[in-house]
Amino acid sequence: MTTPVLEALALKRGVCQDFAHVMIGALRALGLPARYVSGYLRTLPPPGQPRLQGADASHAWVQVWCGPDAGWVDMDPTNDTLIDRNHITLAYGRDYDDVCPLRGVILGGDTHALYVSVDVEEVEEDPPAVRQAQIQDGQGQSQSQTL
Amino acid sequence: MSTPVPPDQPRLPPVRYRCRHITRYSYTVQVVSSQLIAHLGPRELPGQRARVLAVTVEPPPAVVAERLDWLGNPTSYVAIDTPHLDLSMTVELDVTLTPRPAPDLAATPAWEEIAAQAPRHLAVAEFIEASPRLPQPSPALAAFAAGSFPPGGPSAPAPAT
Repeated sequence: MTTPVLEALALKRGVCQDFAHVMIGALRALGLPARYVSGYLRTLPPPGQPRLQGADASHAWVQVWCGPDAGWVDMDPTNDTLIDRNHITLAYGRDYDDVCPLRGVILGGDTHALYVSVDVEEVEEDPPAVRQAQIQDGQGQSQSQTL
Repeated sequence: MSTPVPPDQPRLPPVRYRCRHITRYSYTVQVVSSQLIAHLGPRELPGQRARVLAVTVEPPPAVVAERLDWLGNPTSYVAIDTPHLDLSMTVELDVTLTPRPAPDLAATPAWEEIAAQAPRHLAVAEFIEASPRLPQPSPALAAFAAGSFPPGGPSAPAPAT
C-alpha cells in the first residue's frame, strides 16, 4: 500500500497514494493548502483485450487551494493531469489516514488475507433494472475475481 | 496492466458509471466481534452526481450507522457480533460525471500570495499543517517543491501534458 512520504520521495517511485502524498507534502511545505482525495479511476484494458471485472483500481489524487476565487483544484500527479470524466470522488481528507476505505477493530482472527476488487463500469442507460440482475449473480462472480 | 483513459476533450457528454468495490478478509482464527468504519463514499460534488445503490456485509451486521465525518465525507459504521472466519463488504455506486469547465490556472494568484492568505481562511488552514502521514516542516519536501514554484508563479501551474 503506501510508503512513508519521505521514503517515496527518496525512491522517486511509488503507487498513486505515494504520488499524492509527496505532492501534498511538497505543497504544504510552501504553505499551500492541499488535501488527499480518495476515489476510482476508469481504466482502459490493454489493446485487443476485454475489460476485466475487478481490474480497476482505487485511485488517489490531490486538491490544491488556489485562493477564494478558484477554490480547490483537483490534480492527478500519477497521471500528470487535471481530473476529468474518468475520476470518481469518494472522499477527501488531510491524507490517506483520514479516508482509508475500510478500517476497524476486531477481536480474534490472528492473521488474515485481504482481497480487494474494484470495478468501474460505464453504463449506457438507466441502470437500476440492469443492476438488479447483476447483483443476483454478482456475488459469487466477483469473489472468484478477487482470488 | 490497464492504462489510464486519456484526458477528456472539452464539451463531452456526461458519463454514467456503476462501481462495485469488494473488500474481503479471510482470518485464520475465528473473529468474535468486528467494528468497522468504511469511507466508501461517494460525495456529491460539482460535476459529480452520485448515490449508493447497495451495501452488502457478510456476516449480517448487528449495527449499521451512516454518518458524515468532520469533512462531510459519508461513512458507514458497521458492527458484527456473529463469529466468523470471512468478512466481506460490497459497496455499489451509481455515479454520473459531467465535464466541468477547466479552471484558468494561469489566472490564479501567485503562490506566495495564496500561502500568505491561507492561514486566515478557516476552511483551508488545517490543510497546511502536518497530518498523520505527512510531517511538517520537511526540508526534503520543501526542496522538492522549490523547483516547481519559481517566485511569483501561479499557485496551480498547468500540468506538463
